[in-house]
Amino acid sequence: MAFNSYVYVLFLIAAVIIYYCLPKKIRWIELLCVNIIYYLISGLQYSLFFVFSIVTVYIAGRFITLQDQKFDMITQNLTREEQKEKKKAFAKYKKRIVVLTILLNLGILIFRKYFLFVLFNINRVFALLHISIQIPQISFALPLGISFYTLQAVGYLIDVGRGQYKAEKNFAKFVLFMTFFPHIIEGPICRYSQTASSLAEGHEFSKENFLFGIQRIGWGLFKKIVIADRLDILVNHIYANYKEYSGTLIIVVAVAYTTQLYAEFSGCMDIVIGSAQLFGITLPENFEHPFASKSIQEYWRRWHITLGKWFKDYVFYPVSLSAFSKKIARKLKSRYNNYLVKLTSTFIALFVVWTLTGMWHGGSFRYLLYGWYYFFIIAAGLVIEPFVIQIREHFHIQEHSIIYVCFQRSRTFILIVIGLMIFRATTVTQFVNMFSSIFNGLTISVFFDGTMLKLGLDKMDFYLLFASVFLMIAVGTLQTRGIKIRQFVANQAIYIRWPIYYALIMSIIVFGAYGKGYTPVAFIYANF
Amino acid sequence: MRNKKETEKREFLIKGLLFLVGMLVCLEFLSLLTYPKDNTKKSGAYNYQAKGIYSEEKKSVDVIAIGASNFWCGYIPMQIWKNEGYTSYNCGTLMQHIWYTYYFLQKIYKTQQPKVVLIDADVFFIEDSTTLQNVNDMIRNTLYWKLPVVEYHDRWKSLSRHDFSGKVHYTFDNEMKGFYYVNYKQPYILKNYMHQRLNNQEVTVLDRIFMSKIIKLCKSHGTKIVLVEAPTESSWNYIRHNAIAAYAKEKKMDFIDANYQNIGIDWNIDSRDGGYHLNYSGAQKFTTFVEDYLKKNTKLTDHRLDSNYSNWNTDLAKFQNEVNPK
Repeated sequence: MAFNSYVYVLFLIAAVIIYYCLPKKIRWIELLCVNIIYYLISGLQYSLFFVFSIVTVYIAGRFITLQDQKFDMITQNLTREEQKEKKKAFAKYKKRIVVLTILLNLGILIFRKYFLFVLFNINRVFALLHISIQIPQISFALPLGISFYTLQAVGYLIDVGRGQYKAEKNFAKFVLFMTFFPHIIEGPICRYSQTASSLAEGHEFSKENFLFGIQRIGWGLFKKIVIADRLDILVNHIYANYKEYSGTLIIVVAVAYTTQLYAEFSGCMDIVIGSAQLFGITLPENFEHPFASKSIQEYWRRWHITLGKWFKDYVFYPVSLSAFSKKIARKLKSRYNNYLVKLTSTFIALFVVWTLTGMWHGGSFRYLLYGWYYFFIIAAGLVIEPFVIQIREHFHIQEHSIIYVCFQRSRTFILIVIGLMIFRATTVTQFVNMFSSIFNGLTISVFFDGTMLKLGLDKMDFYLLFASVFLMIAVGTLQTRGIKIRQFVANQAIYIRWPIYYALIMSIIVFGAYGKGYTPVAFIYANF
Repeated sequence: MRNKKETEKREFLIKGLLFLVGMLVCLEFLSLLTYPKDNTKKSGAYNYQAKGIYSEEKKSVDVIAIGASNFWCGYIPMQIWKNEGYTSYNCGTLMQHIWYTYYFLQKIYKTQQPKVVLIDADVFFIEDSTTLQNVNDMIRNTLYWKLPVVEYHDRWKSLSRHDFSGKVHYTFDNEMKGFYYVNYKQPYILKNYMHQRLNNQEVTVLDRIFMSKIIKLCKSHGTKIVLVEAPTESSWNYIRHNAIAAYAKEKKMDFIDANYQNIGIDWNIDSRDGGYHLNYSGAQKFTTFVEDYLKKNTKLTDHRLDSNYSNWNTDLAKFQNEVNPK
């Protein structure tokens, strides 16, 4: 059930009305039923995988908490030394449970995502070696939201294993946490500590939450339907016939795709967070004006925030603090003692994080390249950082001067655009061909000789795109300056406020790239 | 305190309702603005060939043939006129769902009073892969007909001063009477798609709901409904035949299936795309089949000598000139 479908709108309206009609105490049960219905009608055929994840993680979580309780009981009358020993034994046991459950769940994710990829490449190797065996390709779709709910489940289990909180006792409430329908398809990846209690709590109807939720959904739909889906026409046109284009048009399509992905993914998050807000539930933000970033590290703290945080907490820190990383760093330190050696464990952790980030997006070499691209940039950034500081000091460049900040932002934006070229390409070869063709035929004449009007969009589309992207940037800029747009609009008199609401709704209906003459565009991240 | 809360709640509800009313007014206004002011291709009207029915003389069409693409390129109104003098119109469109059929008929009844409606049985099976997609499509189509801005929103790019007047004037004179003429052929290598099978297929709940609405609508206008299936190997089989036959029996409607009976279709020459759709040669055979049914089972009037219908003879001449150019 796509968020931009009529069915979703009706489903959401019905769910919200019923939620507030019921007594506060049982509202969470309604929410649970709604989640189950949502999942069953959206992806019934693969719900078994989801059920498996929920059950295994719940049981493992409960088992760990019970072990903690057992430990407390057993060690009450023991000496400190005995307690230490018992603790070690319990920790080892708990770790085994956690690792086994994680492996089971990640195993499903990896299998579903990489089975075809591995099969395809085995066949390619056979073909290269002139071996006539070809393993038949079995095609199957991914279970709905598997990449997101698996990470959420794994995060929960690790936190329970680390003793950050006790496992949820109530199975129904755990299911509620795992299945909350707005974020099941594209995230954000929620932490149990952030959302579980809010989900289980019956919220009082709040005018503010209701209005702000609707506004946010409207804004998200605007970004998705008016901007992203319109840009999709141009992007698809060039990517499908990329050999016919070069130079400026490749840059145009790369920037267009960057804008499309941002408008679409952040628009989707607006719909998700807005939908949750209608129930009085606050979900974590996933975007924070990523194109205002001055570095790639900052960009990844602002783009797909919950995924970045997940990898940071559950992969980066454990890897950089692991015995293996420390051992290598110690070895290198004993031989060389310089700046780079100090960063050894960081580099190891970064490499693992970016390899996994790339792999998380799917079974393709281009996703691996996408991950390694960011690893390389971030690692290179760390390596040259002292030199950059020296140069800046030498030329007396102020770190916060407008020109320097503009330079940093432009540089970061270019790197992001290149990264997303890898992401959008269907193969690594396509990316290489497209990227190398940039330097072939750089001219501004394409903007004036009618070439732009042969890419699937007409003049009016371009005017509309300029206006709506400008509006999106303006709203983002105001937000970075601390102006809360929704609050600002809500504070206006009714004769100003309502026309703004009407303008937003009507512009989605009139200017949206949907219906006859348009191909429906699925949410990009829904495929992950 | 409680009273204050109650008042606030009531105020919020009233405001909400007012907001929705305002929104409907805006949508109605935009619908008036964007709705094509004619039924020609140039005006931007979708399915303009089928919508040619809007420019026919009021209450002049006796038979409406409505359905999906098999009907669109299978039923020739001008052949019926030439042989029997019955006025009919082909309101077939590509991938027509049953809900579209219902709303289209509703609109047709505003100007026509047909005595017979031939409904393509395919409209029961033009479905997306999931029920969810079907429901979504049903809502979309409902909005298309109730708030045309949803269907014609893209006309914002080509609005003219005339659009602001809101006046609609249908001028499309379609001598094909909605029929989609194709004369090339692509044979279908016969695989006996109508062989007997044991499986069952039911008419879905959504289809039943809309068919009931259609029955009610036609009944209220005294129109006879006939379910018809044109020859096609792609969307038809024995199971579907049985499902519709059972449904027609239940609803006491006639059902004639040109796949079940031998109407002389030669798949080597009568299809334009390997068995999916008929070409002109196949359409002539199918129309003869329907013509026989109408002759035997309805009491339609022969208008050929009626001077009020002289324009049909003019259109017939144009039609013949187009399908058999000299």
